[in-house]
Amino acid sequence: MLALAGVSVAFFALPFAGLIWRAPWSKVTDILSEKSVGTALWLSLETSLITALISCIFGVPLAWLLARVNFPGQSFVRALATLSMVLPPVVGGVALFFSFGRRGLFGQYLNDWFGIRLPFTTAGVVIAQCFVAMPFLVLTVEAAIRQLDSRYEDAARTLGASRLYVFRRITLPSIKPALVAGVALAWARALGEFGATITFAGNLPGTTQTMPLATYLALESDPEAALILSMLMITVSFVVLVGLRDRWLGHQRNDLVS
Amino acid sequence: MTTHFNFSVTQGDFNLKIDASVNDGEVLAVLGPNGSGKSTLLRLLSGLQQIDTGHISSRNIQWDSPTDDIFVEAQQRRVGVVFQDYLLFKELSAVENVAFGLRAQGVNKATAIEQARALLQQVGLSEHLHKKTPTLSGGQAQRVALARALAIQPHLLLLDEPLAALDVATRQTVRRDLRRYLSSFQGAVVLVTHDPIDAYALADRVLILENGQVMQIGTLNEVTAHPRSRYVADLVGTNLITGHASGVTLTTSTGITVVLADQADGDVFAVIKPQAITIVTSNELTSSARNTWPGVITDIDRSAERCRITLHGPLPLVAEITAAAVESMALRIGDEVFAVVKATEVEVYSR
Repeated sequence: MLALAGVSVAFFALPFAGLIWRAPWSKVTDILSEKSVGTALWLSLETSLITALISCIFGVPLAWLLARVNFPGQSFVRALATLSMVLPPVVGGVALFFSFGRRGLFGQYLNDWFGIRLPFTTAGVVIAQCFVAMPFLVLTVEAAIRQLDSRYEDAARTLGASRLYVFRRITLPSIKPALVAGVALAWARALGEFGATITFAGNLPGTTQTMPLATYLALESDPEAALILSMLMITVSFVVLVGLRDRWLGHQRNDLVS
Repeated sequence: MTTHFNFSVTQGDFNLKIDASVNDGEVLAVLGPNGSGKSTLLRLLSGLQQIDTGHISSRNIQWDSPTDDIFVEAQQRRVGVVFQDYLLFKELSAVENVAFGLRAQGVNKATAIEQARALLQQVGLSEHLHKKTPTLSGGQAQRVALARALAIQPHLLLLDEPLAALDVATRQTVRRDLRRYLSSFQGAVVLVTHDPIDAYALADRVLILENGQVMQIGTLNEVTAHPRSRYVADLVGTNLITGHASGVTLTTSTGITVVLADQADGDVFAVIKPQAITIVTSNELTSSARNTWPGVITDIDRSAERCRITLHGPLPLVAEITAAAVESMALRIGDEVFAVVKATEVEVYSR
């Protein structure tokens, strides 16, 4: 058992070792101060944070619906809401393109009626990221709401509290750790989004070229920059995951015991 | 003013059908074994669940009436509930728990806290206002739960096994206090319990619920004098016999005959109080006015001066005799004895 587990650890660790070994550490500051890198980095942060916010606003009510309301077709809706987690992101991008693209099923009306164009815009990047990242939040929060004893919500309702008030005062405080974890997971997933973004939003520097896209392109033109950009993203993701574990998942464990 | 409920609801293969009412100022105890539908009744009355057919109304306002397409949700009914394990909000202090209902209805924070403080004072908890609820003792938590339910000034108060979570020592004092609070409550009270002592101490009327059906409803005296099921007879601690009467003879379904003092006819119940049964060790000659049945002692329950003897035989009985009599006859579990009952001690009433 231990040996097999050790193989797993090695399998996850070795690629990073290779990366660290090959990274041109002396040029770090030069590459990071390049304007195109800075632009991509800021665009990534901006879009992924907006994605996290949107996922929160729309994902939490969806999670509540799936966990607490029984309605016909519930399992179908749950499958639909989490489909993009298992779909190749490129497929998601293609689907978005034919739905919300300029000639897409809905995109043409968005364009004709409201003058809204999503493909090849920063808004398109956010849409692509939401499509793949929101399910992480929905699943995390839904599981947390399910684990709550719904009788506390019943008790609150008998005291005259509306569904919204019950959610705000009873449900939300109890699922805070899971909500934070869900938001962070969705954010990290959005930060690393590649396939759906490049398919739906394209690769326009300053508008739609996020860090993963920049990294991929740099691999052909400037492999050293690709290495540094990769290191940067690994650092960010790693910090998020470690931080999650200690700050929030740890607290959640304690809550369950007490 | 009255709360009426007359409804039927089906969950899987369990059917709950109740027709009853409870007046303002009255405490109705719902007694029944586990799985009899007591908790479902409370969910229906509080509006957490809908009935299938019938109606529930309170003070002439329809709460639930499927034929009229009326369903008032829990948050819109004036129903206070004290849940079995209280369900106090863990993140909130005692006073915040009590203020919760007022806050939810839009009362400003200062007013709500002030009212909650006054209510907690009434139940003797003014020293624990700001304690987080998990640190309260069982008795304190029960009183916070009661104050929280009363804070919304309910028309109907529901108590779900309010004393079951307490240890025996606390239960007595909390029961006494609860009696005091309930007597000053203006609205109607439905108390669900499986403990007859709660019903004795707190209720004006009792509803016996068995397997989703109302077996009996009436004052405590009515129900205990004339039990209509084995469950009630056991609760009361009396012997219930079911059979068919003709003249001065009652015949049970197993063919046992019971001599009666007065004429009776048709399907009847009969009760024999345990105190009315004499135990003898040999089948002496008995007069025709006497009933004698053989039995084997399966249990002897001693409490101070009296002993309850459980007899297993053609007619299972519980007899209550003095400890001195048990001693003098040297009764032991497994002894074969006879139960003797005067015909005048058999009380018959129709089924």
